[in-house]
Amino acid sequence: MRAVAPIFMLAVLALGMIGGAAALWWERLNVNVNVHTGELDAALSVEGSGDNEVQLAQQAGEQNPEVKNVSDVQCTLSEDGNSVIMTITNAYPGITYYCDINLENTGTIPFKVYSVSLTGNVTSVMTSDSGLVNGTIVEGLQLHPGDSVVDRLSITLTNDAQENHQYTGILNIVVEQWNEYPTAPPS
Amino acid sequence: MRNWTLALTALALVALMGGASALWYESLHTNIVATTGELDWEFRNNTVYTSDPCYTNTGQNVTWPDTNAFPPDYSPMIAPEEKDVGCTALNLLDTDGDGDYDTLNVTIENAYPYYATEVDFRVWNIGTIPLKIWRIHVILDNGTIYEFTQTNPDTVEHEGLYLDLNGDNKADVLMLWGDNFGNQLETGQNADISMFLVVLQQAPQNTSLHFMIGLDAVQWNEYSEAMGMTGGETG
Repeated sequence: MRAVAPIFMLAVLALGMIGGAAALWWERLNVNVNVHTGELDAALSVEGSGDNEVQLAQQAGEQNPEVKNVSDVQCTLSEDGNSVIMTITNAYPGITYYCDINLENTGTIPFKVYSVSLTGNVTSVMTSDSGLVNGTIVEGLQLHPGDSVVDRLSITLTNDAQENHQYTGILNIVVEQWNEYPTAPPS
Repeated sequence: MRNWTLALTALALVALMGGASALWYESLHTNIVATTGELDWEFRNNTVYTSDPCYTNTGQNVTWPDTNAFPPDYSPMIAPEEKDVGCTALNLLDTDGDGDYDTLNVTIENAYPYYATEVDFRVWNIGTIPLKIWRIHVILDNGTIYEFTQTNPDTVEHEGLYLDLNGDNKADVLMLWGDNFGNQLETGQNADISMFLVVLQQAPQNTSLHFMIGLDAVQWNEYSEAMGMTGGETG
């Protein structure tokens, strides 16, 4: 019995050391979660531009209507692709200048047009039928990825416009993810 | 004198014989063979589901309306206009090559704010000893670990765990976990577990976000001891 007791104690000690190192048995399963987010993106492009000087001259019976083409309108896309710059030179009242603007969903999720607004001092000298006149780009319009729509931005000056003056304006189109429309986007 | 010689000779022979045979004895032996069991559990094919699958079981693309979940209560609902924009793909992996699936990959494609998906899966005890579902570790790529057990399930079960996955101090994903913490699985038994994920408004666009959930089971008879342990990532 004297020999058994130390052996037993040593065995207990050894087991205790093993237990301390290995601890209890356990096994892990893994769940890997990968979230690939999409993109909300819209782009503008210019489909065309012009004015109605010559057309009005023709309607007025001008012999050579082309000579009435004294003003000009240019529509160009900004470098970042988010703005269309409409530049009218030698403008005068009664002539309609326009840019045909294409709005495209270039992202991966649908969007809706939250707001369309034209601001700037040009609005004070525009006729009531100016602005986006085709009614295709309007609040609530929805575009799915790859879809696009064209509207016409038209500017006709009233007789209140001053000579040799520069008027400016900005057409803002705000789009947002479709599933949160019409929640206001952060300012 | 002759008699003395014979007597001594006989005594010597007896002594020699006695030295060879000694006393009578017998040994008894107990052979000990301890064949240990195995603690093992797994995911299985056809027992993992999502509310918005990308593919059928045969790998065909599937059109399925998205689920959205909006604050403050994040109740799941069919997305407005029943659109199918995002989807959730599930894949099972046997990362250690031992013949059973130990990893479930959940991949949400083309996610957007308030896209929500539910993932349901079944875990099976394929070992030889009972196990108890012990804990989960939610492990972010930056090393942050959130641990949940039977003692603190409320956050992950009811309130939701808000996860900042890209380090911008803004939560990107909300996770809820239907726990089963402490449930015991005998050999061959299974349990259902569910997970609910919501992509939050602050999630960045065009980005891959990742986190891992380690789901740990422990031998049934040391569950209470396990509850006293914290930390540790490998099993």
